[in-house]
Amino acid sequence: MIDLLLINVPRISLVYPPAGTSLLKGVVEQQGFTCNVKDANFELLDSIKDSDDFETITNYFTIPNAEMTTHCQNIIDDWYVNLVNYILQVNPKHVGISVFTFECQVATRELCKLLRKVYNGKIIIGGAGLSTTGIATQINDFGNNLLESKQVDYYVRGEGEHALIDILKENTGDGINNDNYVQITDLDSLAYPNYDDVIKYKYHYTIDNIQLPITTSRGCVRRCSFCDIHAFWKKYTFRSGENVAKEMISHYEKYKVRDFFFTDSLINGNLKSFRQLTECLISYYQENNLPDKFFSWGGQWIVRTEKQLSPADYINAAKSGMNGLAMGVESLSEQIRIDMKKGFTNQDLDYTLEQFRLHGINCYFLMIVGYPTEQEEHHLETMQMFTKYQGYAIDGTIFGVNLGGTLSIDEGSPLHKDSIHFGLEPTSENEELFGLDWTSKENPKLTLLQRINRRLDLQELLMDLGYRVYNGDHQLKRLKASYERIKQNTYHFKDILHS
Amino acid sequence: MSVLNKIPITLKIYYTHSSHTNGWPLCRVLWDNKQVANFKADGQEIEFTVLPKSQGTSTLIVEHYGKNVYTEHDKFIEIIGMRINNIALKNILWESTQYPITAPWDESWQEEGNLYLGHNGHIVWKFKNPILLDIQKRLKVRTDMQEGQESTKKVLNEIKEYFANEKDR
Repeated sequence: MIDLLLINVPRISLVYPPAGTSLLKGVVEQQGFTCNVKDANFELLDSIKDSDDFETITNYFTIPNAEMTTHCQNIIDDWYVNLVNYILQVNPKHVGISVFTFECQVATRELCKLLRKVYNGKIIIGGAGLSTTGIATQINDFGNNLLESKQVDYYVRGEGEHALIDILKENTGDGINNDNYVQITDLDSLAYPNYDDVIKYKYHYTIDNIQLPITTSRGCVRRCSFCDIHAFWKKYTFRSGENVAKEMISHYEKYKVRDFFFTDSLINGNLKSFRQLTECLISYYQENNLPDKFFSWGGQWIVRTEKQLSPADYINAAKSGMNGLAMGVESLSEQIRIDMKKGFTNQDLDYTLEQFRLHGINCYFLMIVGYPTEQEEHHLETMQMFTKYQGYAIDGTIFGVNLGGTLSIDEGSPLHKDSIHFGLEPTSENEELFGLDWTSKENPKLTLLQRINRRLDLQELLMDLGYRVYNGDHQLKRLKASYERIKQNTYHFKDILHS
Repeated sequence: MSVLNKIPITLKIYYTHSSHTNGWPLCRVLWDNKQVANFKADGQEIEFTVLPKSQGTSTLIVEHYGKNVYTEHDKFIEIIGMRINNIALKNILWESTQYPITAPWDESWQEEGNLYLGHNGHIVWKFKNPILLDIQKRLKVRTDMQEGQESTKKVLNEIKEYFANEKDR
């Protein structure tokens, strides 16, 4: 009998193996317990080849009261039955369900309900999806709800590495059935993830090769006003570059994987560690007669000044294989970025892009349209700057732009916490400040409709200029749906809960 | 595409040249058959700005002229690089045709991808408009999107149409 079976449930991405469950497997095994991982999300969603069925089934998991067909309902019912039967057959002492986001709540709730009737082991749930409105919210609505209704034995808040061991050993600890989780500060002490159970799955990798996720840090060194990350990760913690390089090398030696995607909020948060990583990788290539860029690795990047990251740093980063960076640029108006506390100037961005171009590193812009202080002139400035940067899209230095769904006010972010200071309020009385439904007393012309129209204008310009705009169709459809719900007065926090 | 033909583009041509013997090589550059530069080739680069057309084809011509083929055997210029809006044209540089001026009694000839102008003559590059999108395509920069990640004009226009009829509450 194994100690723990970890399960991924819909709906999460199919583009590479989920990082969390394999990391927990490594940690649990390091402590002498046995553990298997089953990616039930992938098994279900990958099996659906018809695009309409795929949309119906993913909508079932992610959108309240979504339309359902008999055919798709049968597919889902069969999947639940087979999954429960599998668990009974393996018969682990504990089943751990990864609630990666609130979009995993529907599957988790139903699976727990079915399991409870027939399974005698302990049921654990954990993940950021225990909260419905962002990782930072203090409303642990989902975990508490399932615990109170006795559908689960434990929920785990915060990081799972220590908490899971505590459950397996003593059934109690920080962050177990309570919100008093303690952040792990020594990430180097954790075991490497063990991908043995999931490497066989044919994930929908965005490149032609197998790509594995790596987590090198938690939290962020910046405090952007719209971001809720600090409410969850109080401190910025990071692994040494040497430790990260060793993990990458171990995956190469074990699985022959050479492509890695860093799941961090930023891969250049600690510059000492960043430099150490590039140097360790280059040394490994040289010692083993491997060419430059033998590994390929990327993740989220913050813009740095020339003083912080010199041209020599970019040369090393490119040699070590860094590529495919997602940058939270948010706005191309310097004033708006100052308001956001983004911490970089236009000059810094120009420098970064030119270094990327010189060294063949490509990047992806993450944008936010409609920040509360955004005036028409700032919007035009962003459009002009995108026109100025067009050359980077033409030669592939900027390989894509994600415009998002206009600014959402997330609980835990400074904008939410200090909403009075920022002059933000819900559009009608007696409603919580939440998501897209806000106005600014200081900038009353920036209505939701204005923000949406700016978002549409920007996408049109970018497409004309030759930028690849990612995920626009989906975002615009969702934006329209949210707008309609706001109009109908059904866009409230309580309405998106699945309970 | 309306925005694309309103933004000037900057071209920079990098070259090498023969040394000063009986004067520097003489060059001129034509964009869509209009002269945009006329210079002594005594430096390393020449830069100019043009307004692109929204459709059709645009032509860039670099011409070497004024060489006395009897007395100035060594005079030449060679194009070694080109950038449009700071985008290196890489492979596109070689996608060109050279037309040397030959004596009437010699057979005329042309050559693809020869950037060395030892004769009087010119090199022609052709671009489809909008030029920057043509360059993007010819540089083989990936523009396709993974399934489910697309942004299409169809959906954009549908959503624009919907919101065009909306008014603030």
